[in-house]
Amino acid sequence: MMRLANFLSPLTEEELRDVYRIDVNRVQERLASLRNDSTVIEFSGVSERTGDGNKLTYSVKLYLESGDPVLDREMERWLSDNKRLLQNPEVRAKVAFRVKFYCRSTFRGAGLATYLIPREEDAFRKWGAREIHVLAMDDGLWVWTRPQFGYTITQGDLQSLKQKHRDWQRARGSTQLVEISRLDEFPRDFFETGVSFLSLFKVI
Amino acid sequence: MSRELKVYNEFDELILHAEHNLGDASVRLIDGTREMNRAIKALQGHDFERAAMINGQICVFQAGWDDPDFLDAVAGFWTASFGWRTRIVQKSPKFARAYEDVLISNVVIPNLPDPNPSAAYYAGLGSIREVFSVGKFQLSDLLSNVAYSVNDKFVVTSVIENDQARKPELVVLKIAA
Repeated sequence: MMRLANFLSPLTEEELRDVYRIDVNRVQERLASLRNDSTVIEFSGVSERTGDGNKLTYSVKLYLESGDPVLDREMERWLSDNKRLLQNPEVRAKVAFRVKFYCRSTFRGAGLATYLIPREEDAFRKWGAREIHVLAMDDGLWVWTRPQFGYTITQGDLQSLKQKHRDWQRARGSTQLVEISRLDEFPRDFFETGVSFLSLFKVI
Repeated sequence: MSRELKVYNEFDELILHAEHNLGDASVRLIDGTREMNRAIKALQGHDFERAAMINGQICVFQAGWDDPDFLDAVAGFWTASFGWRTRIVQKSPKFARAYEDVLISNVVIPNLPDPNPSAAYYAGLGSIREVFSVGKFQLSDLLSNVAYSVNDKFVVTSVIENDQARKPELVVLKIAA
């Protein structure tokens, strides 16, 4: 079985773990009691020769001093070293996949994503990832499509999303249908009620 | 061999009808909205891979552009993501030749509960068993979900759609001598 160190190279396991060490001075007061020494990061073994090449799955759990979790569900990430790129599906390369990131409602907007996301991306970039993929669902449909995170969507998916948005407006009785041209222009309630998932990506 | 994909929105309107020809890996737009025509054009020539969460599990819909199941992957993702109803019809060369020949049986399947029912569902329908006896073909033939030759005399399509009645039909065609 491929060793974790070999798979992550040139990134080290310590560097990846360090991504999730939160500087509580850089997030909001609500997270001041977050305990880094309680953070649990679990790596699966490296699965070899999957449809996406060799693949590592890992999860992250964050806790407060009280023992209460910061996340509703553990954060889940996949690293695949031969996955199809969304920007150019004929090319396979290293891809990082953000699967789950559910903050407890108490801590939403407390700056955790803003703090963590760039740190993760630096690590993924060092590992050699060409793209980061996000399976956006639930509240994440709105969050991950905000421009500051830099995610986009394939042209084909944007067109089908436009179709869905047109029908969504009609179903709500709108007579003046609004044409949307950019991913970040779709209204929040459309994401909340009209779409189940989107495959977003960012080239890094 | 070609496969056709029909996509219906929540108003049960046809928003895309496209044909994927497996011989030269081309796509032909038959009908659809501007957006959906653009969507399928954007997919043309590219392998497809999208993820979705179904029953708490990550599911990946993937297929190469020239794979026979390319449209299945696209349809599966659109159904999961947008709730659209999709239908795929496969035509074999034999089906194409037989299409203009004599229609000997045309049986409406009642009460279809699912826009994409499984082969097992059809297998459980008594009415289908009767149709089998008409065409003298085996249950396993239908499970293959393709246009199927039977004794070199008959061909059965997979279930196709009757747009007006909005009920699928099982069509048995006699192949030209």
